[in-house]
Amino acid sequence: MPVDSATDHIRARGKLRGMPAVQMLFLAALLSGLLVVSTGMGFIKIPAAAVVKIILNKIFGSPELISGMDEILPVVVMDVRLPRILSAALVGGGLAMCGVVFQGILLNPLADPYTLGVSAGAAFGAALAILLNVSALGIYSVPLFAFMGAAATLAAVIHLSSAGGGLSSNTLILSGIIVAAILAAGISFLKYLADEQVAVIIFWLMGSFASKTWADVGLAFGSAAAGLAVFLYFARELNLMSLGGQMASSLGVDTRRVTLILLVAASLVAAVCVSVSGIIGFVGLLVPHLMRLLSGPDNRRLIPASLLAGAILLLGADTLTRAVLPAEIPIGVLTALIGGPFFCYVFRKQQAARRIW
Amino acid sequence: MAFEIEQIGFAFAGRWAVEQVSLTLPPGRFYGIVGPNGCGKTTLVDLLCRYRTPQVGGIRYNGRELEGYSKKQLAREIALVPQNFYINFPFSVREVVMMGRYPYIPRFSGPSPRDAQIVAEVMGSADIGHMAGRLVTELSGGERQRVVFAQALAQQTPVLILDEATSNLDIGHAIRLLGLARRQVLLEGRTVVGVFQDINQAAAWCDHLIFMLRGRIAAQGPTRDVLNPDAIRAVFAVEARVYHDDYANALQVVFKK
Repeated sequence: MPVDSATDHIRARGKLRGMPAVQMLFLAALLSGLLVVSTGMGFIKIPAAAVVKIILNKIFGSPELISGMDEILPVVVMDVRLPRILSAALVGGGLAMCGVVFQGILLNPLADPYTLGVSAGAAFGAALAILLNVSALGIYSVPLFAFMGAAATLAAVIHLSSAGGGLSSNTLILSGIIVAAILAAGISFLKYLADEQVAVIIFWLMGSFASKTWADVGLAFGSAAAGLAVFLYFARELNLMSLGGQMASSLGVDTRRVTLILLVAASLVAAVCVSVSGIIGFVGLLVPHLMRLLSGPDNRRLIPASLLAGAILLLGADTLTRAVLPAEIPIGVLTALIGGPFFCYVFRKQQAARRIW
Repeated sequence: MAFEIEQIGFAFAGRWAVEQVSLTLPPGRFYGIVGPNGCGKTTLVDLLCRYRTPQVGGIRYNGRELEGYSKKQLAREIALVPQNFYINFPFSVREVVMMGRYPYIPRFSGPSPRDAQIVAEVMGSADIGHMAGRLVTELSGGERQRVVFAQALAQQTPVLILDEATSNLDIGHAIRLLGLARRQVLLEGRTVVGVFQDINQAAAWCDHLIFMLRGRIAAQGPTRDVLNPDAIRAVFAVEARVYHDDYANALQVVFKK
């Protein structure tokens, strides 16, 4: 890249950084548009205007909006498509904003919501539930086991890394890797035992939004909203913590307390996401990176921007696999197949820009 | 008294890094801590700014236990320029300096015009005004150190702690920043506690020197009283001559090869 275009790129970035409100509006408009268009796509095509009318009728209860419409359409929109679409958007947004928080706490731009073993714990819990054929809670048995697995893993990682009074980023990452490695062996063992059930386990692990319900939407919404509130409250502290624990502490941040609160909150949001949809990679890694280029590293802007962008990305990917591709590919596979190479591209481009500067 | 340190000790994994240290530091002076590598200088500084807590003994600041201050209160009293400083995220220089105002800006508020003015002033003092819009991830080590120095100045605290804060600076910027700290001691009654590798730099700027050896205080007192060949031999195991240099207007040390 020639020097001129590199400096132009940085100047342009600076200009965009100055307009956070415009960025948020743009992302929000994009997400709203995508929600409507995506709801219209599928086996039965529904025009955008009809989708909007059906939703408005549901919210404001004015049946004249949908008079004369095929009776099947409101059912398709409200009971089949919207739960799946909203789940995908909420999980994408949740994972992306957790990615921001994990990268901030661990001082590592390569961290993601799964760095502390949350995904491995959830996978282990889910595999166990499938293997033991737990059905006490009906269709929620597997998600519940996944959540408990993730929460137990988080507790183990925090316990392991706080022995020396620490919770430093290095001990946390190391503890996460150790616990995840043990769990990976455990999952392999469960698959080995599972015999005919192994396909069910593998399919769950690859992630899917097929046949999501309004209960899933409620769960994902609740956790994303609570997470967003906690993250925004501590966004300033998270900025300071990127200077390192010693500096943040001397600037007045209670680093241990903030680290613990943010870790637990982000891990629980990620655990709910995984319970709802299975393991979906790359959203939590890629989106914070992209948004940092657009809105800068200030977490007060980066967290909401990543929430919106994550929702757009995962909803886009899910719509692709649901309504565009000839056969449905598991969403976790799709995000990794698209996200991986794209991440490589962004990563190389960033390095090139840095070298010239 | 700014600091009253009583018989403090701090150990890493069973080995004392700071042991039986007692010191009284009146305000309005420039203190220099010198000593060989691993003698506990940085640990002592960490204890003073409460990044670490002494396992035995106690520290009082302005007559109150250091432990009794909230983190925010303390951040308005004591600022730190650390030895090493890395940042992985592309904040601009101005954003990083503005972080020094965090103890004063309420949550969910933006910086006030006064905060912006203070940040502009300290960036001028640290000679980083011309790079305000650059990203800290793209600066050299010395430039980064000037940015954190400015951030600590923006904190506007009565106490400034410099942990080898000029180790990466060229001589021009080192003299400029230490001179600035020195003027603030003289004119505004600030207290500065600096850790120095270069004993001549310590001799040139400090009123009071503290020699450390193996976690303990080997000698301490006014620079003109304690800076002598015996103290240097005892602490660094080198032969040296100490003389008053008229050009530098300070005691200076030359060493035998």
